[in-house]
Amino acid sequence: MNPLEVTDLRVALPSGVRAVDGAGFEVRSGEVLGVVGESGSGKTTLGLAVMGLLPAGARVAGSVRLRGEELLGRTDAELSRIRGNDLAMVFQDPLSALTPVHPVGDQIAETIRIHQGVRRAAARARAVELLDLVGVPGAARRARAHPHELSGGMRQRVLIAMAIANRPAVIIADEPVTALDTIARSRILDVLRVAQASTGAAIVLITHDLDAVTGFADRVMVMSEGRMADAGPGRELPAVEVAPVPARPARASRPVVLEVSGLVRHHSLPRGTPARRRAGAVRAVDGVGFDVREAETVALVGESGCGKTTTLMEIMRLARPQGGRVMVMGQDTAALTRARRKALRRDVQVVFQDPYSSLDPRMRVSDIIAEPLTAHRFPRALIGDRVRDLLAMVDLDPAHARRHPHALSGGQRQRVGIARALALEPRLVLLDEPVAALDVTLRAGVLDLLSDLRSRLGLAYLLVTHDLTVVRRIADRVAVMHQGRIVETGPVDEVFHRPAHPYTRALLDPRFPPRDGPSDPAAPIPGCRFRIRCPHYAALGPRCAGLCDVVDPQPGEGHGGRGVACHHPLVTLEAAT
Amino acid sequence: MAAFLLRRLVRGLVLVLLASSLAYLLAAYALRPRAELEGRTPRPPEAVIDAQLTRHNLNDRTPLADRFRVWATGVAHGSFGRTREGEPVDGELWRRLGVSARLLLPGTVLGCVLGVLLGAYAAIRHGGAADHAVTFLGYLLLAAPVFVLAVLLQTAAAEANDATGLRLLTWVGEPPGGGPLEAVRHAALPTATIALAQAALVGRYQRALMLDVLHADYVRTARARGLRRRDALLRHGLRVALVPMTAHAAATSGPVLFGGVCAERVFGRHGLGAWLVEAIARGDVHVAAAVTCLAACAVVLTGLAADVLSGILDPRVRAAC
Repeated sequence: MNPLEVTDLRVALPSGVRAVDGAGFEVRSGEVLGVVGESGSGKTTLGLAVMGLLPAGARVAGSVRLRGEELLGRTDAELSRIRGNDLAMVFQDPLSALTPVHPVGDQIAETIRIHQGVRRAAARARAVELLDLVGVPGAARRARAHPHELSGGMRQRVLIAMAIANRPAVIIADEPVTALDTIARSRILDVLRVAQASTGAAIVLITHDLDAVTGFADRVMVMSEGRMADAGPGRELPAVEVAPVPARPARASRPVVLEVSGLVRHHSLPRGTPARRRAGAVRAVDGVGFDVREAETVALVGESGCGKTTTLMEIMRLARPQGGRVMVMGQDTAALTRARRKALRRDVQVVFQDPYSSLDPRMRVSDIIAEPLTAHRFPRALIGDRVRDLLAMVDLDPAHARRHPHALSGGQRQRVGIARALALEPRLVLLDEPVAALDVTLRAGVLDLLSDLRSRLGLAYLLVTHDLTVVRRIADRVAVMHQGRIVETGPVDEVFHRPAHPYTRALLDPRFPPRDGPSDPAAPIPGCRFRIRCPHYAALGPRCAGLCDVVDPQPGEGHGGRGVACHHPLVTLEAAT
Repeated sequence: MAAFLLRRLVRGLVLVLLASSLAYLLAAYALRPRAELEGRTPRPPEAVIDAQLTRHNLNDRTPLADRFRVWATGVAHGSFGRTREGEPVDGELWRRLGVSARLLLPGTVLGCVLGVLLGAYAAIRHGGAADHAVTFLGYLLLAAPVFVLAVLLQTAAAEANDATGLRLLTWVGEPPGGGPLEAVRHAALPTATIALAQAALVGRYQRALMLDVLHADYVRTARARGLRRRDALLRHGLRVALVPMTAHAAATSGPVLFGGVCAERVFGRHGLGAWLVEAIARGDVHVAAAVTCLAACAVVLTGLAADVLSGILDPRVRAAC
């Protein structure tokens, strides 16, 4: 008997939408089934329907059988004995899926106590074991931590620990790695694999990202408009095609729009234990230098916490940095008067990550786009025309001008954000994860729009992202950041095809993961900061490794605008053109 | 956290000092104890009036700054001065503080608990008949001033007493003695009045807070782990929704004190509120200043308690300060 069989499942949401329309599948013990579909295909509703966690008012028909027992039509009390016990779920957003006020160990222990009726102490001990199993370092200590004290990857592990706490027969994982960066992503999939091996559970992995299931799922089904179709065995799926890189104009002849050198931003540590207070400051950005020229896109990439967003924020402040220098349009931001700074803000605009929270929900689209114009004394009579032009520029219907943000889709909202950024005809646009909050299908449209606007308006983009496919698609140059430093720079195709720094290769290729190591951003180690995590360092002989121990490598710029902060680069840069 | 609370305490002390000083200055400037002495028949000689007022530091012909200095020195030594009749304010002040606290505290605590429960219940039943009923009741109570509520409750209790022929409830004054039953009989109505008014203030806000967490991801996670909807909402949802409630509850301390003044009048309690009203009417400067000082202390202490409580409830608050 299969652990989970779903036949002809139909769900009508309270709004009347038929989100799932005759979906069916079954999973065998120990099997991983990938369910792939774009947003709106009903895949999340499918997961919630199986769990019995649909919003009130949703109507369900069909059959969901767990070990042959029908789940549909059961009461909340009956289902609560099954949920978390035989049937567990890992949710998409690890940042909001844990209760912020309870220690994570207690939340895992609660899951055990609900179903097993063991003593509190025993459940807590088991929670620590589970955290250890899913690869949380210092499990006993971390069990007492609250969610806000853990990174996104660690919280996702906690959620997995919860899901496997009672050895369920089936685990439903809804986009378990979407919110994570490349390195954390492959680790979490490893953890899921370990968890599965230790429990023998069947896994239903729901995702919009074909990459995430390739090599992980045994079988893949594609979901579209509420129906499902087989797509064959997951391990044999073809690799996703990379968009061709457009031809690049001569770089040296174009004017420099933004020049950053030796930028430093340290955050003094919050008042905590006296031991930490002595440690001083988190070195979020610790000597970063790069430049952006007209009509090009420079991408800052790296794991979460590497300082890429802080760098962006420092540039956006247009003020004197803690250390180093920021030159925008040839003007040193440290020497600006108030009036000059305001004038310069016209030239530097920003598109934020989350189109849901970066637009005022109480303003109409036309007012949102007009706001920068009014702020900079644009002639009132011309604002209406300008707003219409901007809407057309970002491919929005003129009728959208009267709507409020909630009446727009995610992609449309981000287009409003872009129109707002372009209202003052800036020369440099800072893009902070511009498509991270959007679905894949919408991403392509927004990225194409950004590329198109760049070539039409001669804009320069500074792009911050952890998503390398976005970099491939629109960036000309890339700067890879690690612990507040740039470890490698160069043209995107060069760097991506022949990475010189071991960290860059780790980001690009999950086959070369960095090693786990203590990396305290408050107290960097002497010598190369990456060496603890460096897969190469361990293999180097003591004579070569000695250099890494003592000398902190700097990213010099070599031929073809490439630079690498490594004593033993993977490729020799002189050969690059 | 300790350093944070210490900073808050210091700031609270400054606030209390400012509030009390301003209250004294305003009372000493605006109230006219002389008028009452002059109005006596036979009218005492001017010199006698002056002497009596000066003896108690109430003479409006002494410069205000000098009177303030004498009063402040007294307060610094733990004495709030004397009433117009020459009685020390302090003894009466602490006795009446007890009366007011017995009247207000149980009602306030009960009202907060009731408000949180009703608000959370209404939110869980969002859109249902129970939600509508609770919301309607809340608006009704908010619209009715405390003294109207008190009089309505008294009328209802009188009807109940008449109907049953027993004196089930009594409401005027403090219990003259007797066992706990007598205390309950006396306390029931005033406590209910304060509690209902407070529950309306708290409940409406708690309902809104609870609606925000009703669809929170962590509540769904809790259900996915096997908690029933009600348990998930109480253990995970309400716990988070209580954090902002602490600050709101502290902000209601002003309305609570005002409600206390009304309740004391209606239920014939000789507490601080009644005393303050009398003092203002009779031109008793020191009493008015002393009661205001205590009210300021109460507001500051409530705020401090709210800070501690939100720190206990939310680890992120502890981390931030």
